[in-house]
Amino acid sequence: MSTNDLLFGVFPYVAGALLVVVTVIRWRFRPFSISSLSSQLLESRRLYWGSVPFHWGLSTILVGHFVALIIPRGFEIWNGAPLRLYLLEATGLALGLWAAFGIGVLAYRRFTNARIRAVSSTMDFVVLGVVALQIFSGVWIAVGYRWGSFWGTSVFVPYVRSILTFDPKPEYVDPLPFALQLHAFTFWVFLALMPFTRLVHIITLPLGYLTRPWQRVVRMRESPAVYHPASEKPLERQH
Amino acid sequence: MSTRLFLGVGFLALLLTAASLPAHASAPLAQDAAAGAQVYADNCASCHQPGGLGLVGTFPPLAGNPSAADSTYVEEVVRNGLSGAIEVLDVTYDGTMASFSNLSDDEIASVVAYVATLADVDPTAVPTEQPEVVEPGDIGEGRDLFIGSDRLANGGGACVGCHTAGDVGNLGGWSLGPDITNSHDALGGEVGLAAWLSSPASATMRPIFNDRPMTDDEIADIVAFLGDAPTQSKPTDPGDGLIYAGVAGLIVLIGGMAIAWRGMRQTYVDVLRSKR
Repeated sequence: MSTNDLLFGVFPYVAGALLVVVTVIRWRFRPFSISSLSSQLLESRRLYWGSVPFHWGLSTILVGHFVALIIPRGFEIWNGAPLRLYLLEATGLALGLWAAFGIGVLAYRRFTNARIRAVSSTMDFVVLGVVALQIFSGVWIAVGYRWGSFWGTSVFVPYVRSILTFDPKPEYVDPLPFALQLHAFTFWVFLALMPFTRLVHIITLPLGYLTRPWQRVVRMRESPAVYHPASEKPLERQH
Repeated sequence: MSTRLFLGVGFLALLLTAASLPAHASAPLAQDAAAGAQVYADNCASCHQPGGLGLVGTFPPLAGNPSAADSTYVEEVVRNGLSGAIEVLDVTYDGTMASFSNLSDDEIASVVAYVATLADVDPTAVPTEQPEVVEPGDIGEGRDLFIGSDRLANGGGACVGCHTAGDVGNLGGWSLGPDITNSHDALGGEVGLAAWLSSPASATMRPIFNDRPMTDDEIADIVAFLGDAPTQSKPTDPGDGLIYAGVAGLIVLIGGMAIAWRGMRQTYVDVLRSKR
């Protein structure tokens, strides 16, 4: 077995097994630890400039990756006209740079702010490093190995699908440049780390809000019932 | 949960993976010429042709070629590839062969054994004139296939996903694979290029096109386009355009943040002060 088979054919399953098993154990036995332990109360200004670009940039990019995995053909059709391809790639690069900017601010904050340092665990720094590597390699690919949204459908989509269908074909990754291998490998590391670290908060993404019945929040109903009994006038609105 | 439990679970996952390992290992092939013939058909025949007859001017024959019996040499070429002019049976061949290091040791041993049997074939069977191209393809159709506005029938990725050629590729062109503007000449013209495309031999392309080969018509069109590519004017942007566009997008995003969500970056102290 070659190193490539080990890293890209076997390790994904180790990562997947850890992700599922440990997350379930943690959920079952330490439910209140499923959190990223917000430090907003300790420092909020830099958090805004770090957390917002990081989370919005990264999750948009991540959704793009998932869509490519599900409907690669859609990407190929979209990219069939060069102008559309440039639009997609420039948008992706902008979002990637945004996320990189965000994690830069977050890293600076975690390293320099005494209050944040005091509440940081070793694993927080590990997570920071892995995610930063993931974003860095992604931007590197976007710039250095142009049009990943195009070749990705021929290289990474069949590879990831082969993993998901338990028929691993690591040979797709073997001949690729280092940046692409790094990007793929750090993703499996990311999955493996998730249940052990603050990353586990990802599973609390409140997707239920998308489908639950809407509700109307009423702060003050202008009805006779809320008239102050002692006066004839309605109470002044208070927000 | 204790660290020990985490470690235990990790160890269990490793064990499970280790137990499933044999399923991933490639099936062992008997090191004989019969198995090698199949490896040859899958990996070598598109260029060296069935029976090892070669393609005049580009891909040397293995049939009747004394070097084919030298298993050390053949294995070396299979593992590392070979390019540049060589002379076989008094004919010069100038092509490019990719490394086939992705083959397993067993596969390489068996194909070396098969190739050795070809050395004894009567060399008079080897053609000395290039076959005629039957139907020349259409440059425009080839361009559409190349840039992906027409999809390849069997679902292979468009060339432009990785390659630049001729005048395609504003914003710096495509850069995962090499620029193949001159592939037509490098692979010995229409016939050599078409043979190569019928079963692409680079390690990146093989997994993509082995199961999703291009059709003969598509190959003819793409060959026609690539034949025309050296005469087309090349794009001049070295890729900076994309970087400018990305940085412009970044500025818009950060600028948008500076304007929107103002309340979100206030500390609670700020909020209380503003209420006073």
